Amino acid sequence: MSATGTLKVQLDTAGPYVRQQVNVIDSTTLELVASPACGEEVEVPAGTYVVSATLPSGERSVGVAEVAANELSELALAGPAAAAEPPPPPPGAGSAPGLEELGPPAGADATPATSGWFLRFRVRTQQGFEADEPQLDVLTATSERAELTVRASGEGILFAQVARAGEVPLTVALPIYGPTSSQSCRLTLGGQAGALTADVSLPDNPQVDAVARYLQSGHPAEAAGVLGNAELLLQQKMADPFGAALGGYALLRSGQLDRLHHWPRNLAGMFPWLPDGAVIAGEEAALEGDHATALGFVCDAARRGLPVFAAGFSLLAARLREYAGARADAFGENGGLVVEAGQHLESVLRVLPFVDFARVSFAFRGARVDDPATSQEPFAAGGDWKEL
Amino acid sequence: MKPWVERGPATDGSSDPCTHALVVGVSRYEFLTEDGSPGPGGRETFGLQQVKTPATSAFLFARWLESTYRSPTAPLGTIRLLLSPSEWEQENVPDLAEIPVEAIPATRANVEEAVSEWFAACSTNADHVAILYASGHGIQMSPDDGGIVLLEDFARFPSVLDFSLDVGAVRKGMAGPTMAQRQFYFVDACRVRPEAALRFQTLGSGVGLPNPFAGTARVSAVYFAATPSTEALGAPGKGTLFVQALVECLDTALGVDDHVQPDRTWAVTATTLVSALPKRVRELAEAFGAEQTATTGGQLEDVPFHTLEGKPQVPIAVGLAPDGAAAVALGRLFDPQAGDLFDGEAFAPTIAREVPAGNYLLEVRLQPPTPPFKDVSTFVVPALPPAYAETLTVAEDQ
Repeated sequence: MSATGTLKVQLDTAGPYVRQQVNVIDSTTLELVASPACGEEVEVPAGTYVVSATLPSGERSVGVAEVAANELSELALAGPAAAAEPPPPPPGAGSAPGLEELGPPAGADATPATSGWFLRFRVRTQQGFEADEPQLDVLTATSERAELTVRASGEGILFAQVARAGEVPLTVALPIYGPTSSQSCRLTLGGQAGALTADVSLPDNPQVDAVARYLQSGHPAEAAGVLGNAELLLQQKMADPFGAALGGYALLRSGQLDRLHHWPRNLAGMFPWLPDGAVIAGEEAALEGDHATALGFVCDAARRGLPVFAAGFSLLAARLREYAGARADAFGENGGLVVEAGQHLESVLRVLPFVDFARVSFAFRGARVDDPATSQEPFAAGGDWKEL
Repeated sequence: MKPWVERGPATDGSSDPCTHALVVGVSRYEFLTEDGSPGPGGRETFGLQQVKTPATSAFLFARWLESTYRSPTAPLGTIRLLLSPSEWEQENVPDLAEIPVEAIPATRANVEEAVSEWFAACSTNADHVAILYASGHGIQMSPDDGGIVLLEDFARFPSVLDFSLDVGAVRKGMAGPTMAQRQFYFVDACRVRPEAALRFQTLGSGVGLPNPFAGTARVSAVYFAATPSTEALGAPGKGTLFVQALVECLDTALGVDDHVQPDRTWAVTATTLVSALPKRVRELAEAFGAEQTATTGGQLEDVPFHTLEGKPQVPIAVGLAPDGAAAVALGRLFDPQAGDLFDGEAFAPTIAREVPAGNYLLEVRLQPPTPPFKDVSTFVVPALPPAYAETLTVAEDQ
């Protein structure tokens, strides 16, 4: 047996608790030898290794480590490049010469925006959606970009509504809630004229923020890995149900059902105001073939309202469409819920065409948070809209 | 229905593991006009018009499957091909001038039969691989659903969506103990206007499969061409940007995992496509000054989708710092075991090459010697997919 040494890889990341998984690759055979977490010591045969880590942004950091027998070798991988800015949006979408657009002919409704940013908030309570005024810290606000910190003011899931002149307002769910550890988030507004964007990040919670960014960049396995045991987030004194939900989505997406082992049911039970817990519990049951239980959770989730994360809405819509058209006898004693699933599906379909599934946070276009289908008109100032 | 391609285990009726593909591309719509005006007889057509890229795209992907796709554990068995090319494509796209006789029009009746046969083929062994690619006008429901692709005879009757392929309903039906456990769905369509989605329940039901309400396949990955907030774009003659990006990810290092698989091969996996494909779609769209976002859904366990025959060619780009060093520097890239890949290569101001995936050493010589720059004898270049880029400092420490 060849002599072994120990390798420890460090990665300069946003926070000490963000421990990305790294690939340790034999430099000769190019085989994957180990996949430890950053900071974790791993024993490998003495030799040369290429070490790579995918950063939450999707960029890759690569280094080379020499591991000597019976020694600890440490490698520091470069972290994210200075202040990763979001990629610049492409100029003028939609009418490139030589390209064919599938779908209806491009309309003339993309009016260039020239005014400032307008904002208002809605909170979902048991009575429905109500106006809310959370605490805001505006960090920057130019005509191209605005950045602000939003702090939860109480109970109820908070939705920010963002608008510019000439565009349909954008509504985005915020993963903050008073009585939890998730009390603030950063909202970054930008985008070219006609393509308003609102990105949500969690600078005060770098671990969960990294999970979100891994999911955004198309790395669900890394997202699941960086969170470790998402269930633990429910057991802390100040639980983090949003982090747990993101962890649940990452595990579902990456096919790691064995790591869920039904803790999403605790998430659904402990946080009845959060639709995402019931969505994840339902999806887990469905993937296991227990569609009767799944239907129960799916209807429960739909009764709770709109999920906080786009993955939740996607899963909810897909399962509602599946169950609403099914025979009731496929669901045992929950068969009576098939009709209810159909009713929820109708509500979901009124939102679905306007959702941006490319984002982690649940976001859709429409001025009315309770009915985007009837509020697709360009923004008009007034009411409780406030300019930043 | 005779598959366009039938080979390997699929020809002798055995159930040995193989890959079964169903490829559908619709550019010609019987009841759509050229300009999106209402169809004949006042049919509801959502303002859709004839298009020029989906059949090109479907045939491009089918030909890639036929000629290049490789799976050691499930070699290609069948490709069922349904194409409805537009007149423009038949006149201007050489491959579509004479489509194979086995490629039948993508009408409701034909697609229904093809889906049924594909389902039957995929359901004989859990080790099979199932691939479905569909391109055309569509209604995107959600990334975890699969969407609806409109077929050639869309809008034949008032229940217009009877003439569509319901990818979500097909996917939900692809279950059972002997069903292919590795399933890949590529939906290369863009949404129609929101009112179609809002009313889709009352507009008929597309081709699907009965849902057995069993567990889901181990891998059931859905790759979408566009989100509801964007349009899917296509370049007539070359296919949609989505299929161009897809084939690039499969044919180059773009989509390849950064290490060899346990069987010593290089592979594009279900999860490498999740990050590589949307990125490439976005880049291609940006090159046209346009915007397109691809998304993914479903279960994405990390299994190989396509195995390369050899090593991928990995783009490397090595620059020098500080400025000025490149003018007098020559590079040599070598593998200590196998020899030089190149020598005496000038930095202009970077060395940008494609090299077989590997771990190499770069030697930088300064000719003539030009202080404060210094030679570098062994700079390690881990040329692993998808690419390697680095700037090498060649000055003495200050």
